[in-house]
Amino acid sequence: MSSIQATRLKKGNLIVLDGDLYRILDLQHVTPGNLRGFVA
Amino acid sequence: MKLRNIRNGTLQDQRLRSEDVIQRANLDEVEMQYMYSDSAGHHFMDTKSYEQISLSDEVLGELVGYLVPESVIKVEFYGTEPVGIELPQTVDLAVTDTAPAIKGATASAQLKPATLETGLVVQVPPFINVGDRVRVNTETASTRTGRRDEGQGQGAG
Repeated sequence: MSSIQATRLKKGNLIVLDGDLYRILDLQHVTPGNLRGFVA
Repeated sequence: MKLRNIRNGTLQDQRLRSEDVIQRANLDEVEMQYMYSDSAGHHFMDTKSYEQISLSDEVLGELVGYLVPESVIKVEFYGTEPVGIELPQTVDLAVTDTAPAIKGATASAQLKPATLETGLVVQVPPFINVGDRVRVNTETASTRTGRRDEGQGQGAG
């Protein structure tokens, strides 16, 4: 199993969360100037 | 980000911190031929071992509209469990229903809806008639291929 940073995830990737398999349908890496960045 | 649970098809919204580390699923790809669909699911056959498997609507989602019988596609396996399919970039499908072509229609990029042989509905240029084959991009569901393919008549769209 390979690990990947959240910021490097891409649409269409398959990931494992809590033992369940999920496909990413949509994602956006948001980096607000005054806050910590996040992936939503 | 929007996530779809592969096993039960439920949708979920998730927010991650940038520094989070996520487990990626390792997938094996197997070449398989699509055979048919029935109430039990969509049936595929391994082109090497002739083993047959069936995939549910939840696994395939909207990709069902691009499956033509006998087409060879890649099925993704997580361990022994089939979790998805990989389609070619474009698929050629016949138009089964659309409004008739308008004589003297302008060259502007007007589009009309067309129903394809798989039941998929896409927007096509006005000169497309019933029986024509169109090349559909499997990612965007559009007939714009981005370049003028030989004999496709798609360039003017």
